[in-house]
Amino acid sequence: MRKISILIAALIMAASVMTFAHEHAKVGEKAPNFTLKDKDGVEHSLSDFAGKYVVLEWINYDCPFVKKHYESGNMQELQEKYTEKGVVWLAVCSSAEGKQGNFTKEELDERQEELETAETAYLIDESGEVGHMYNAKTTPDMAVINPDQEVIYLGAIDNIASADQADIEKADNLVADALDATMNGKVVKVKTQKPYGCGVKYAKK
Amino acid sequence: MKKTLVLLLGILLAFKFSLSEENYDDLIEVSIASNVEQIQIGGNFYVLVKLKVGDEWHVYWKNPGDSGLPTHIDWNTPDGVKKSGGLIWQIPKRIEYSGMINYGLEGEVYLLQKFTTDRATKLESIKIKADLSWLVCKEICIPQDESVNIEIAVGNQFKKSSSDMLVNELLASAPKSFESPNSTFEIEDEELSIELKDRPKDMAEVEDIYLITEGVIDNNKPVEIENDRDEVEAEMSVSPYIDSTPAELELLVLYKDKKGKKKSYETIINYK
Repeated sequence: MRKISILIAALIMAASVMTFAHEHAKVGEKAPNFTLKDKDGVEHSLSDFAGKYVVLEWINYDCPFVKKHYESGNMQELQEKYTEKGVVWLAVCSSAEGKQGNFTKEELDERQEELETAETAYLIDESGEVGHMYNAKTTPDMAVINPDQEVIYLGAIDNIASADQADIEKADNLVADALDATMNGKVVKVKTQKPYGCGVKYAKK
Repeated sequence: MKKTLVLLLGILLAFKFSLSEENYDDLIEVSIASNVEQIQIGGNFYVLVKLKVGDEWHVYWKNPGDSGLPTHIDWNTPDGVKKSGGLIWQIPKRIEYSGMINYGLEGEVYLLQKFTTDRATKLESIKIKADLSWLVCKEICIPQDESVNIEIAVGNQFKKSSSDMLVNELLASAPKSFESPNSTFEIEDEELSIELKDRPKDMAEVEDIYLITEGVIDNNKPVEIENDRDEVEAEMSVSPYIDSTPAELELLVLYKDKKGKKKSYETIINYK
């Protein structure tokens, strides 16, 4: 009897680990929930924002592709435009300790003041768990989640893969397109696009 | 006293600068050459661009993989001189970093381009400018660019240059172009299946396949290849970023010939 109980417990444990291991964000499916602390130590869970649109933006301020969108003011304009419309904009940093993009709170305060960023919160994901959950490969890499907490867009910020600021105007901004379409009751045309940028500086497994 | 203080301050600032700012300008050395010193109008020639990449750094192949950007060249040529075919790349290497796979090139990286000249053109010499841009990465990535120029004389006969042998060696080892009208692929249950029914006559066994078409496969998952008597089958996992099934796929196929020599070809296959 004891053996059977141990076996059942082991099976339940294995099943729960497998469910977690397979919980990856996919367009059209429920967005995997997570809880992360922001740069000030305040916890935020994705589920806190049910009923609102949420944008996840993978970030590393020292990556040239992130610089392209911040030094041009493009990212801040998007953040301002959509947070004014009630969208929750979460910058997520999955850079491991000691890797590029992993900053102290003081460094972050300085960077963000200088760049005049306008995200709702800057979340710290040093373990990379949430980055892997959303299959974030590059910085930037974006996810758009609807009020029902379903993923409606995953991937690149726009459709011109380059580090050149001059390409921003020529490109279609796929995050803005997804938000504009869905907020106006229209179908999101491009639901996913391979992201471009620097590799996320994850912790070694 | 004031002068000494200013000097001291200057030295301190210079020291701080040298510690905080790494200089990446010399990470890549770019040079340009041709297989010819002089050509006859109406003939063809090759231009070779070499990127000497610093140790442990890499630049990217035409499909960069999970991150990065392909190395790019814009060619400026005089009227009557045209590119023939695409840029000829060396075979890339899978570079793993932080759980991601990139397709990169390290060390001495060569990019070759064939040019043709129009018989009606009157030129005293052919001046070609290559505007290069690339992303060079190790733990961090740096976008860089540089322009290089070459001038080739025009005369009554061809004169080989000192780079002729290198160009021939690179052409010999570069992937060949191969037609695959009967080879197909399909995508089902997040798996990409490839059937290579056309094969070069000297092929003994396919050893590896790289997708030139970007964003179709999950680069982290293994490429499984089965060599049968009549065809070669390959299976790969589909990328989570694929939005729709492409009509065709461009592949780089690495194979061993019947004498055991490593060879490669590039081909396009259609959806089944």
